Amino acid sequence: MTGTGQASPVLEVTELRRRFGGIVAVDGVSFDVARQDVLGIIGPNGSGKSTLFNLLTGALPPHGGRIRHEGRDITGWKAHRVARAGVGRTFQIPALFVNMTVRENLYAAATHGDWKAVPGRADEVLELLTLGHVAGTPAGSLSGGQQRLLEFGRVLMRDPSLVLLDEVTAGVHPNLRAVILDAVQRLREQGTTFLVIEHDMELVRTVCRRVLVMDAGRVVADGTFAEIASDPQVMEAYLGVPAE
Amino acid sequence: MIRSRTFAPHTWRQAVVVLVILVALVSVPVWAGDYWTRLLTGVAMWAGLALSWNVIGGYAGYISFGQVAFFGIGAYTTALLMQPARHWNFLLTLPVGAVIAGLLAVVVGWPALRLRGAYFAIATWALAEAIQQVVAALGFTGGTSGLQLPINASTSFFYYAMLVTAVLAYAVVYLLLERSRFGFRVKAVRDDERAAAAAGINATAVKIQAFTLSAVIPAVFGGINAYWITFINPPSVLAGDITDQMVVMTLIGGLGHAWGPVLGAAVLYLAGRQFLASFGNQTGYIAMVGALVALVVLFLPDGIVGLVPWTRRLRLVRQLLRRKDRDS
Ligand SMILES: Nc1ncnc2c1ncn2[C@@H]1O[C@H](COP(=O)(O)OP(=O)(O)OP(=O)(O)O)[C@@H](O)[C@H]1O
Ligand SMILES: [Mg+2]
Repeated sequence: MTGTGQASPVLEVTELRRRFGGIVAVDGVSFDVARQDVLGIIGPNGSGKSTLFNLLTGALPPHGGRIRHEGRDITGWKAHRVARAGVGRTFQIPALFVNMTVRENLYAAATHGDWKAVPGRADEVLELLTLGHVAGTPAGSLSGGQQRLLEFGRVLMRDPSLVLLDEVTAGVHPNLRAVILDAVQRLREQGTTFLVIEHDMELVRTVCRRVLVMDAGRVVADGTFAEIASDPQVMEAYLGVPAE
Repeated sequence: MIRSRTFAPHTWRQAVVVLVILVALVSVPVWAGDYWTRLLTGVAMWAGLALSWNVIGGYAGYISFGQVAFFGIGAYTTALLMQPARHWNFLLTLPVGAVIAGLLAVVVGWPALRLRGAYFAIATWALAEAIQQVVAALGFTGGTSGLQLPINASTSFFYYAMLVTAVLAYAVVYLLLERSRFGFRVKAVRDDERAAAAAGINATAVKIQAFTLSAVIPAVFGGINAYWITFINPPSVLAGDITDQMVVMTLIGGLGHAWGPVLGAAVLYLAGRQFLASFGNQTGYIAMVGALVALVVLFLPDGIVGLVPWTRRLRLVRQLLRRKDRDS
């Protein structure tokens, strides 16, 4: 990575588009992400955030637009190729390997690297995420919060340079939420770039250096948290919903 | 059972158990007599056939209704190559059948394994039907009148051929699917294809590899079986009920469990023979199998293996029955 100039973005998204029947879920989205950024993506339910992630990771093919990762055009790549190119992700609804134990889930996430190093690596991740006591438990019997931790743990097993987290802290105990956020901070310092979909504004404010606001498939605002919080369009589309 | 490490070395006690079982199996022709040696030859064969179904059905999570096609291909390859005109050495015919079956699995699996489970089930069923019809229609396969093989009357020869093949098949499948990264990939794809892809796993490639492995095994058994029964025709080595047996043996033994198929094969094969010996037909056997399958689906999803208290609980039977959820 040392060869890449500071200026070149990790991810360049141009005019990305995706329909589902009559619905345009992602409608001409463009943005760049700089290395070591933590980019928050917020927006109301159904605004296209998860679909955007599915397009970026190759889980869905786009109907238009381009995606460049590390300067390489990855538009239309299959999901496993995108993953091997260094993109890691979690799913909004945890997608665990339910017949495998927690430890085996971590192993299965890392079958393409140095296989001998995997058990030691899994030990570290289990300890970091405080999942050691359930290492031998089938992933299908974990609590909702633990399932999200394991999703995150699988990403950690793979050392991706770009990580996409889809509401990874939802339903996670505050203590463990702090563990996830610490890990994000530490990896960011080591060079990892993050895209984070979040509904928790406090978390967005503290973690994200830059925030993208989506509404009805479009980016309606892009800036620091302070900037978007004072944007009238955002207030209307999203933050304007009075807080209880 | 709490397993702290998936790679944990086996304890010496397990090694001793395996050794005792192996010695007992190897010495069967010495102490068991002809009748029991033949019965155990059949158990070894069915254990291997059910294992092959477990690879695609249990580990990869795709229901194949066409495994008999590979069994029949192995049988016909051996029979054809051992005809007086060609006169091949028996052992050399086995890898040929295995390669043909493996290639066919790639050709069929490449399109069919991209589809949802139901399409794969239908595609494999159609493959087996088509092969049976084609073999019956062709001239060089002997058509409906079948093929005669050279006669080898040695009971222990076939016992050892089936035993060695079964032990090798179990060893290879165990190492590949329970002890190596390939096994993690296969099971990851089975449990969640999207998450597997997000972990860099090429789901299509992995499924084709698993299907190929599951095709090679029955081809070898098919070749040995053809030589054993000395006469083959489409109904005897290509009939769909051979696949059905593999399915029920795996389900009753324990779908997706390393040792499920051998347990299911032993119980069902011996029971089937007993019914045949006592009543002269297998009606009772079929009724028993139906009842056992219902029992497994309703109450014992891990089959006979599930009776062992520390067995891992899998959700495969339910997962397979509502396959359509998975790919959407
Ligand atoms: N696979 C799909 N098939 C059909 N429609 C879909 C599919 N995935 C998403 N959509 C539709 O696309 C739109 C955007 O959905 P998406 O899940 O991307 O929103 P989101 O911003 O992630 O919402 P949430 O905050 O609720 O997670 C919605 O109208 C949704 O119904
Ligand atoms: Mg979403």
